[in-house]
Formats: sequence, C-alpha cells, structure tokens
Amino acid sequence: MRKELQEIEIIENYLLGKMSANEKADFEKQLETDASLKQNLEMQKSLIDGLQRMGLKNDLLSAKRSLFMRKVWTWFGAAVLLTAIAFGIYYNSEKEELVEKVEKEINDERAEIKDKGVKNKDKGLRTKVDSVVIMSDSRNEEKVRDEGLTTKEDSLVMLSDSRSEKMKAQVALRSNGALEKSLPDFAEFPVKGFQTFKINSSKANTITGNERTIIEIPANAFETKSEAMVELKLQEFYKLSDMVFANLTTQTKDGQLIETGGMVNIEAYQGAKLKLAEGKSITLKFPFEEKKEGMKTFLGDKDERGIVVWKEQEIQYQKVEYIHTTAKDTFSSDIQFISIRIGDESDRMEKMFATRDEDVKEYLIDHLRLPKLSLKELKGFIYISFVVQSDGKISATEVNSAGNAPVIAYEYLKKTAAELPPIVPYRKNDKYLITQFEIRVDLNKNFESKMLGGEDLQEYYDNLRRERSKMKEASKEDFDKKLEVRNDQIATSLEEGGLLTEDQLRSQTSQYILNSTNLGWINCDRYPFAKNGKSSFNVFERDKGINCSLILHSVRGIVSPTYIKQGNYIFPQLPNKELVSVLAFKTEDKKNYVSYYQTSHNKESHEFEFEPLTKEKLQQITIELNAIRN
Amino acid sequence: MNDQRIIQQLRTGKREKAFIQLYKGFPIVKKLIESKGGTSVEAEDVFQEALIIFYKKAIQPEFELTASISTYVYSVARFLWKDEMKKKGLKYGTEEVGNIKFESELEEIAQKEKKFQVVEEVLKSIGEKCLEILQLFYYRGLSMKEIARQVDLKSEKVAKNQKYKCLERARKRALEKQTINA
Repeated sequence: MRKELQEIEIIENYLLGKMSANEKADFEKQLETDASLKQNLEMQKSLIDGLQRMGLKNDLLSAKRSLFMRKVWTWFGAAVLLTAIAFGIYYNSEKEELVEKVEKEINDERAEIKDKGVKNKDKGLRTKVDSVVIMSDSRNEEKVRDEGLTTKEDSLVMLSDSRSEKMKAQVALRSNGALEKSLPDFAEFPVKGFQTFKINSSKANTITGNERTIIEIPANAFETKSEAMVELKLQEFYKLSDMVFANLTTQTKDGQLIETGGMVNIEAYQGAKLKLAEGKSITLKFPFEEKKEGMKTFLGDKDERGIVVWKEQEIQYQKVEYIHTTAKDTFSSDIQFISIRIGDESDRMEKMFATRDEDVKEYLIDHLRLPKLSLKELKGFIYISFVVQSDGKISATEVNSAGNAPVIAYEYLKKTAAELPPIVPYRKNDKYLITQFEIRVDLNKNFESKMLGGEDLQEYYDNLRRERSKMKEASKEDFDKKLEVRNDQIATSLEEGGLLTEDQLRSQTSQYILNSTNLGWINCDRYPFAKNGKSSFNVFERDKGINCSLILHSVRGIVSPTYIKQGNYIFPQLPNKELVSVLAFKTEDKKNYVSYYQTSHNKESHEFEFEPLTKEKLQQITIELNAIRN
Repeated sequence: MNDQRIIQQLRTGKREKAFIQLYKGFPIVKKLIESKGGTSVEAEDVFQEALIIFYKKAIQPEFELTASISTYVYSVARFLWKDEMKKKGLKYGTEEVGNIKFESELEEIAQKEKKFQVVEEVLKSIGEKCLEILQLFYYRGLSMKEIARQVDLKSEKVAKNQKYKCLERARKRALEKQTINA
C-alpha cells in the first residue's frame, strides 16, 4: 500500500476506535507535533460526517416518497369506499388534529398555522380525488390504479434514489455459474449463416441483407491497413424463432427488458477483424411492418452467462451551436461538443463531463482578460463548468478544480464565462434539456497579451457585460429556427446528390433508421413498459443447468432469468397479466428435452413441463413462435 | 406513533420507518416557512435540515425529549429559517422566537451544517462508485466483504484498498476546493 493510503488507514482506525491503547497513545502524541496529520484527521472526520449526512438525506427523500405513495393509496382507498366529499372531511380532520396538537405546544404560532394555505391545498387534494372517482366509474379499477400511480411516480422521479435501484440491478446480475446459457447439442436447430459482402472501403457503400436490412457505410469508415477491399459479414435476426435458437435475448446489462425491432451482427475483416475508425458511424435501416416510436441503437456484448446483453449507445458527440443574437456576433456554428469519458479499466471511476469543444474554449480564451501578473504565475490549469439552461442562458458558472493556477485567474475566467452568448442546449426527444459543460483552460505565457491594468480591466469587463446585455434573449423559436436552417442545408445537400426515387422514399418510411459507431451486435430497440405495476416472473425447478427464456407476446422481447433463488428461476419484472411463452431446454443422459407452453404472468410460480426434443416438436415451436404478432 | 417509539427506532437503526413518521410533520413547517417569505423548496431544505439535527440529537444516549418531537422539529426549523434570513440580511419578523433551551447549541449546529454543504459537493465529485462504496461503509455500516459483493469487486482486499483510494480522492478534491475558496 502507498504511504498516503497507509496514513488514511491509520487515521480511520483511530476514528473508528480500532486502535489498541498503546497505538492510540502513540497516535495522539504524534498529532501534537504533526500539523499536517492533524489537518488530515480533521478532513477525514468531516468527510465521514458528510457521508453520514448524505445518507440521511437520501433516506429522508425515500421516506418522503413512501409517505407520498402511502397517501396516494389512502386517497384512492377512501375514494372507492366513501364519496369524494366524505373523504375531504376525513383528510381535513386528520390535518386539523395535527395542527391543534402543535398549536397547544407553541401558543405564539397560532396565527401562522391558520392561514389560507391549508384550505387552498385541501381543495387541490379534493380535485385530485374527484378525478380518481370518475375514472373508477369506468369499471376498470385495476387500470385506474396503475395509471394513478404512474402519474404520481413520474412526478417523483427526481426524488427517488436511482442509485439504490442501480445497486439492486448489479446485485441481481452477479455472475451465476448456474445460469450459463447454451443450447443443447441438437442437429435440427436452424443455423443462421453469415452473408458475406466484399466492398471497396475507400468509397461509400450500401449493402442490403436477405431480410432487407440496409446498411450504409461511409467512405474510409474502417481502420484498414493498406488495401481498400474489406469483407463484411452479416447476420440478421427478425423472426422470434431465429432469435431464440441463436440464444439471443432482449435485455439490457442491468436486467431491463427492451423491445426489439430487429438485430444484426455485422463484422468486417481484412484478414483480421476490423473496427470502425474513430468518429465514423454506419447507418442501419431496419425494415418494419408497423412502426413503433422511440427505437434507438443498442449495442450488444456477451456477459458472464454467455448471452448477448444490450446497452444503449451513448451519444458521443452532440452538435451545439451559439445563437447569433447580434450582428456583431461572429461565432461559427456547428461545434462538436460534450463527450462522456468513461475511460479504460484503471480509470473506470472517472465518469465526468469533458468537452471537446474547441470553439467555446477559444471564445473564453479570446475574451478573457487578466490583471497584471508575473510571467511565473501564468501556469497551471482551471476546470470551469457552467450550465446551459433550456432557454440558452448560462448559469451556475463555477470553477471545479484547478492545478497551480493563480486564484485571481479563476475569478476572471468565471466573469468571462458568465457573459457567454446564449448557447443552444442539448436536444433529446424534441426537448431542449439543461446541459452541463466543463472546459479546461490551460494558462501559459501567451496570456501575457491579455493582461490589463486596473481601470482598463474594469472597463473591459463593463463593456463586455454591456455588449452581452444588448443581445436579445434566445427563445425556443430561435433554437428551432437554427434547426430548420440546418435541416434545409441537409436537404439541399441531399438534393444536390440526386433526388430520392419513389422507391427510396417509400422504403424510408417503412424502416427504422439508426446510427452506430460500433460494429458487432447491433439492436434496434426501445424501452417498452412504464416502470410500475410489475413483478418478477418465477419458474420453480430443482435442476440448475436449464437454458430457459420467456418470449413476450405484447411486445417483441425475449428475456432470460437473472438469478436463481430457492429453486426458482427468477426472470426480470413483467407487467401483471402479460401473456408469455415459456421455453426451456435441458439435457439428461445425453437425451434432450424441451418445455414449451404459453401462460400469463399471474404472480404465481410456474413449472417447466419437459418432453423429449424432436424435430417435429421443434418445428411446432418454430411455427408457434413466429405466429406471435407484436 | 408514540414519540418514544420513534426515538427507539432511530437508535436501533430502523431509520426508514421513523423517517416516514417524522416526514408527516412537513406540511406545518412548510406553512411556517412560506408565511415567512420562503418558497416550498426552501421549506423542504429547512425541514430536512431540522430532521437531520433532530436525528443526530436523538441518537445520543443522553438525549431526553422535553417536548413532543413535532414541537422540537418545528422549533429547530423555525430557528434555522430565522438564521437563514439573518444571513440574507432580512428581518424574520417583529416577534421574538420563544425561549427554547437549546438555542445556543443550535447556532453551533447550524454552523456545522453549512460546512457540510461544501463536503457534500466534494463527495458528489468523486464518482458514483466511490461514493457508493463510502456510503455503504460509513453510513450503512456494511462489512467490506459485503461491500465487495454489492459493488462487484473481486475481493474484500480490493474493496478495502478502493475505499482508501476513494477517501484519498475526496481529500484531494476538498483541498482543491479550499484553495479556490480561500
């Protein structure tokens, strides 16, 4: 262990009372003379206090959430049992009781407690209940319940502690040897072969698979060596039977079910396997019969169970533009922005924003002026962050961390950043989102030209502010206009490249068009269910080495169990009453068995019903699987 | 629920149930803060602060309840808000706040809580996984073995080492922050 870490350990042992009497005496003696040790002790102590405090705050938030949910249920229950009016009285009386209790104890606060606020708020509650009652008249109580909760939940998303959920998912997915998933050795399983394409990678290519997947590859998309010829291999999966017999599922890494619009496996070779070059992406068009909204690119990776699990492709570059608010503004548009740096294995925990935006950085450095400093002081770096509100305004300008840079430089960098013109915020699903930026500025001798004397400096920043205030505020219309201009540009460039034929137009309207920055397993998916009203699907079975899947009927999805608990194969959560097909294989004494039946998810534990696996049985299953329409 | 039982729950680590009960006091505090010019968000902050202060008091073995918990929390919240207004240079109102015994002590606590806000920022900047490891250990009180299992680290030893590295990172960030704020 390093010296620093050793010190931390020693301090911790002291704080947690893990030292022997002698050790403790020695340590305290050392504290008297070693100022830095003392400082570190204080620091560590306040960090631990802080951790406890944060934990408490989280717990408080989840208490709030539970309380809220409980209330929602109480309202609902009351609404069904009594009338809306009777309920209003019930609620009022509870609140009044509480109010009275406190009033008794704090005589001088009487006036405050009896203000209009209570009454208004109660009126609000009553309206809420009314609407529930009306809905329950439609005699679909189950649905009302779910909907009621869903809305409530949605509004609470921000308060819920998403970390604990993530943690649960991690626990569930811990490697579990018993869940290794491989199909039995059975000659009749259909084999999905690779289709091979030879392309000249120095030009743009479009290839079309047997099942109508269209893949567009830009010129020089691969990290090739010298030659241009590249061999592409493609597997397509659209039929449920193809997916199942290729051992595929539609689950994310953390166990969430996703709905697929088709999967492909695409590989490129030039002797060895090739990767896409940095910054290049391919376009995939997945044909569909009926459009489902919200399809996105998911990339697949094999997990410890040997099955491909999916992860939503991260947005690597986001175009961000300045709004040109004044004629004086001369910024160029189209900046490549924000990347989320995940890092390699050793650096895995550094998950923070970093920017690749040279333009914003350039603007900042351009407009930065500093007071007179000695050349020696012009060194180090500063991480500055700011938030672009959904209306383009810059706020929360803050210096995050710095190395060796003079303190005065932070202040002036902050000042400069505060006067940035409005920036088009990050846009997702047609909404402008609050976007955080972090930029690193390195100080060096070139900044010498940016130093101004006292009064000039003051005047410079006054002018900057005045100029900025003359710019008009950006509005959503401005952002949209910007987008329109860009779309027009794209359309023009398309036209210049030749008009689309009727056929091309038609095919475009019956395909999901996605991008991928990776080769390999690519899945066109979306998240199908709202997060509520679900419970896990269990199958009771003593044998542990069983390959089993659930095929869903209402959405196109296949899931595998995430763990085994007390003899139950536990599948991810599904909505109640969901119609599913349970499919399982096992091999005993070199004989293969299969279990296949349809059932609905009714919270009860199910069992497998094994019978010998024959060619006929497999055919029957294939037909039944492909008859599932979703 | 009976006040003594809430305290019992807090002391035996059954925070969840107790917090749900305590949170029922929020509407009254909210009305107080709103009537004194605060927003509902500010009211919630103040209320949570007050609950945390109450919690820390309540788990001390020598703590004895002299008023009901709701009175206690209400008074602490009122004090915190008054303090907040003072800092903003605003008047709390014309009236004097009642003679609650723990007032001088509260002033000290309020100071401390301010300091924690900086620490909190630091902790939020050390990465999700680090924070998780540290919280599981220092707040949830789990063993390193259990933590290794939960956050998917190879062994207890790796987890322990990681924990120290995370503390070190937090220390570094805190030092950086100090230099900036100094």
